[in-house]
Amino acid sequence: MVAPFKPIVVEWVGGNFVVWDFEASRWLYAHGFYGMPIKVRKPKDLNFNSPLVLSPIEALYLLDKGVISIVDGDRILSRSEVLSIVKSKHKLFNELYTVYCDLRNKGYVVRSGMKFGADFAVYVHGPGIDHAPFLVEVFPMNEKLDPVDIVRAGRLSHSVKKNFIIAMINPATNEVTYISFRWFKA
Amino acid sequence: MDSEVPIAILINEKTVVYGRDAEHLWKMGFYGELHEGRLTLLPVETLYLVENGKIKVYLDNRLLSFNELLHYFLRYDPEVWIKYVIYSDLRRRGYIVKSGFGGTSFRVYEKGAEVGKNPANIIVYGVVEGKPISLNELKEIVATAKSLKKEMVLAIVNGQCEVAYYKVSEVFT
Repeated sequence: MVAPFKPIVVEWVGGNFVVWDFEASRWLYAHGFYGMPIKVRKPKDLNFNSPLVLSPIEALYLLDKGVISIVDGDRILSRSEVLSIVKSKHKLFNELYTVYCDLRNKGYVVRSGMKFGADFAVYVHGPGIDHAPFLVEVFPMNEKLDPVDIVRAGRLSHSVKKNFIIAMINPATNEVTYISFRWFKA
Repeated sequence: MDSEVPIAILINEKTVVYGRDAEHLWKMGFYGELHEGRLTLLPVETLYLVENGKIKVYLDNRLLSFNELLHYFLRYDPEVWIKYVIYSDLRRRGYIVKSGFGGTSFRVYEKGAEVGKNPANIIVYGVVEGKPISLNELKEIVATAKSLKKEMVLAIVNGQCEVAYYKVSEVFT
């Protein structure tokens, strides 16, 4: 993504990161499907007229890429201020952000997987274009996995062909490995 | 009729069948390892064939029941029951199943394959409810399958011995 000439202004308001300018909203959505237009839950095209809400992780990523600046009223928030907001929203912030950045930097479209019961929904092209997202669940490397959790996760992703992915981070190198699970009718 | 069921002898952890019976069992479903008219069966193969009335197993001239055999094998391998659950589930689904690469793993041939002619394309690795696996272990399982150029399938066994299968592979590389 090439940053626009001037950073897009995002307001930290009422516990959300909001882009009020419609043109800026459309630009962010069109360049990697960032954010959610408030008034259009499933945008059919990129011509919507709506403010855009960024998830905390999206806001931090776009801030780190120099695409946006974040204000609280008329004050610009520093990165460390934004970071502490984002950290307060996620128990596994470090792991989630590492995986988010890794996938975005690899060119995937990464969105919240909440409505699928996963950490992230990952698209090759984007929502509404791909048939179904890959569902990614982030695990700290030192955590153990009960095999039956795999079955449970598979049930959750029933509607997306029982296909889901575990992301694990090597604590020494910060490298991420993605293991895919596909239900196999034996 | 009953007297026609092949007779097998237990020698420690191995079950051995001789002569025409050995050839017959091998041709029936590629059970065991056939060497010069002598067929050596694994514990899971023995249990499966006994359960299905395909062999009778004797120890010191005494016929053993399925249950006695299971307890006998458990002394050698505490995981033999889980292995048997997975092995028999795959066999009932029509796969040819051979021992794998240690642990609860199996080499599995596609349905209708011939052992010796076709390769085993799938490795099945058994994991059990309530017995967590580390992510490193999972990573190694996937890496092993990749280096052997085979499909890796996890067989997940729950408390009621139901088995669910999941193909695992590395993505987003």
